[in-house]
Amino acid sequence: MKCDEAMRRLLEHDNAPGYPLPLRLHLRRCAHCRAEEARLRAALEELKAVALSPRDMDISDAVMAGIERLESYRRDVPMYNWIGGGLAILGGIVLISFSDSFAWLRGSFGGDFEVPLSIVLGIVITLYASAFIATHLDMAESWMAKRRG
Amino acid sequence: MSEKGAEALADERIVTLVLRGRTDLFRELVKRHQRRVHYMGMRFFRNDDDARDFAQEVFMKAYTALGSFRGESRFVTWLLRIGFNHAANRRRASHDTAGVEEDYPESRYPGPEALSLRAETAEAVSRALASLPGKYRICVDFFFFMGLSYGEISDITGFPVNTIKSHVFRAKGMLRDALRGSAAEEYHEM
Repeated sequence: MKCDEAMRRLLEHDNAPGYPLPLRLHLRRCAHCRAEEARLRAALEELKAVALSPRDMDISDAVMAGIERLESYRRDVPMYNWIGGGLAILGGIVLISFSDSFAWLRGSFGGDFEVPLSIVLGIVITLYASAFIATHLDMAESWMAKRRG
Repeated sequence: MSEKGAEALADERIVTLVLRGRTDLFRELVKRHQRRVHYMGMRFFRNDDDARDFAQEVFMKAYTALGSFRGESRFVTWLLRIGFNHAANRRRASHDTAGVEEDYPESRYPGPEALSLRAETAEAVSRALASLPGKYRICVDFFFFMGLSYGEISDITGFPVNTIKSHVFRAKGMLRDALRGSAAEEYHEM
């Protein structure tokens, strides 16, 4: 390998330890390229070492406090309450057709009450689902990300 | 396991434990990567207060989205991608610019000159950054200052690997030219 080709490969090299074998062999026998490589590597190491923010900065307490607030908010309404609420709504929808009120409504209005009743039930289910999703946005995002693959 | 014991664990293992309920271990991830995220904030917002706010927001976003981390890339790459997207959205929302993709800040913070770099290194990096179109400056920045690979930079920014490679190649060439004939050359040839 000639020096030009070695330099090209050196400049193309990714931020990973170790060079390809042909480049290593060239560097072993060419003092000029070896010196160039050493200079460049030293400069790049220098950049990485000095660029990051101060070592004494620490935001971990603030982040953990934020997480604690988030978790306590979630704990306020545990999942079994959500499931219980959902089952109660579903049970209500199923059982309403067996109730006296339902029989009275049917007797008084015939089939005319079914549309407004469906609208009311739809609104109840939508409100429940909206409240659940709004308080579990992170779970919803993860779920959608997984579905997107 | 205590938070102290988490120091020996890989990022990906900590993520698994956090998802299983060991929320306290997330602190270890924050401690490991906060400087990088803060540095990214400094590059985009150019002041410490905004950079700290930005870093906290990024970690909170990462925490809430942790379930979507599937280990296909390193945790830090995934985290910086969240940071990059968040920075782009914040800048768009504040009408600062058309967005990160259009105009990555030219002036470095804290500036190569202020980083106690050798003069030739600082000058070469400044020139290399200034010579690039705004949206590609971040590639050189991520490569030189954060030590990320071409693939990782591509994952974070969405730019093609070959584009990143060619810009880094050019910047490295400028750095090499600047180092030629410098005091550093004499030192290395001794």
